[in-house]
Amino acid sequence: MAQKFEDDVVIAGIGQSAVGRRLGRAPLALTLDAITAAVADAGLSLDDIGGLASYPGGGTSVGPGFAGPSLADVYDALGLDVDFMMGSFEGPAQLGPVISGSLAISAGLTRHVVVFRTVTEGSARHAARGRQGGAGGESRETGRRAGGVEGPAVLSYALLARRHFHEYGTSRDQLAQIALTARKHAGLNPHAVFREPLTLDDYLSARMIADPLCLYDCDVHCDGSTAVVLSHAGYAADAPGPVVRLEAVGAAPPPRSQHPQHADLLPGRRAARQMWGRTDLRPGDVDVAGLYDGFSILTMFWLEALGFCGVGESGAFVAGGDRISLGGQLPVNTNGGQLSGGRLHGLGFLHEMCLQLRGQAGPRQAESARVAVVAVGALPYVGCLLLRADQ
Amino acid sequence: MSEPEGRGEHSMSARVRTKYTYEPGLTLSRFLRALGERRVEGGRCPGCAKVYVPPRVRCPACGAGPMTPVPVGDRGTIVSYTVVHVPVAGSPTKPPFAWAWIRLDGADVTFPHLLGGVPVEDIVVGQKVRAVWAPDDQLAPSWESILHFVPVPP
Repeated sequence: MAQKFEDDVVIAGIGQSAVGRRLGRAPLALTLDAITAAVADAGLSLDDIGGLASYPGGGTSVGPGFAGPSLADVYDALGLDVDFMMGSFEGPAQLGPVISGSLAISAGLTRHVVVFRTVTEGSARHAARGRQGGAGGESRETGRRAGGVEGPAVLSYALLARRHFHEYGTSRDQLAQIALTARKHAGLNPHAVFREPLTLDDYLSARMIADPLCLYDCDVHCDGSTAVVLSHAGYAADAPGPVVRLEAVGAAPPPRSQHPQHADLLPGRRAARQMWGRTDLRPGDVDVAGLYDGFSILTMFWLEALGFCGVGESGAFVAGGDRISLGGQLPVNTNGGQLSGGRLHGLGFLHEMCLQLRGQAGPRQAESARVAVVAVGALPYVGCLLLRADQ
Repeated sequence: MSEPEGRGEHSMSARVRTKYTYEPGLTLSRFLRALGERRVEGGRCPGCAKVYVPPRVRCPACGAGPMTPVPVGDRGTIVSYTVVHVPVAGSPTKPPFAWAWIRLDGADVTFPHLLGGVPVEDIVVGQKVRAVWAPDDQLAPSWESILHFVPVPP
């Protein structure tokens, strides 16, 4: 493989704030916790940080608690003096700032870029529910989406899921394995939001949201912030701990994503093709994966788009759950994903895959994890990364 | 697992009333006015000949335009469906309700609309459906001129 910009970049540090349903803390405070942890983990000081990048950036409002603090606020609060800054909603989803930050490093604009993603959707949606006088008094889990603040996203993904069921014979028993495996893994993650065991019976008898998607097919809103430090590869030798190598990126959007009018069951296919075109590694080389599960069906779409199975074969691939569980062929979402770990929105998967490649995932460590994939987003914004453990 | 209840949360309730005028543009206005007369009017792409309902100014697939208005019937096929059990912000329809992608006969793309007149457990992908139009006094240049779609015998 020819020289590529990814070779110039390593992930030198990772950090995460507290994570919970409702922490009652300001987005900026959570962000500073995550960033200071990531910078310390990288063996750097704030004076070393030359770039700041985030998704979605200030001024973007998709829903209560979605956006996190603006880059300007973070910049001011930390007293940074940076040569590169970007925040963007449109791009390779929540991995956009990772890819842009890496390009900035490779292009020589700066040596160390902090990327963060902060959500307070747990607190903010709870407050919004109170205002709207929505259904209260339900249990912690079943009440979380009542109140009419959900918006139409789940309808679109329910229609896509039904279409997948119809075209390929996918079943609820199969789709359930995404949620059940996530919960099983979450039981090994002390920071996960939902850790109680979940059975297939629990899943099949759960409240339907928009069939075939039930409560457990929808991720759980939470509060939390994740940060990573991207560094020039020349820093790897000086870093205090193992770094993670950037092997290849996939940044290409879905083609003509006229979401409401075309049933696109492979939104990540162009990003995946681009990523595999930039590396000699192949899907069979991947040891562990973090695949977006805002809705469980999206993880199935990514398994197919990334070539872990054939198009339409994700149902059979995940059937029974063993293949995507720790100890299986391709452990998926080892931290519990967003379904059980909490909707840290994209960067949570990156944090977990870095822990895995550093051999620091504790009781949920995947065996000999050398290569990991992170894939996030849905229509119309997607992105993916291939990562390698350091030598 | 315990969780902090309301600690550090601050919220304010405020009622905001905004008057607005919605101007959908020439292409969509023509489509909506036709719905108000119980007609569905799609748009045929001059490049790839695909028929869009609703019509677009330009073809999202090949970029050509403008589209030629073309009458489309009010019968079609369920491409996918879901039974929605949660309230949807901004929608007056009370759950549970059936929501489907429908491809009208002669059209190449789908649009979402309500399904009615059928027990939800009997809905299947591929089912033929037809539009149920609003009574005369409720017709308007709006999607709501179609109350919902109902199955028709094959």
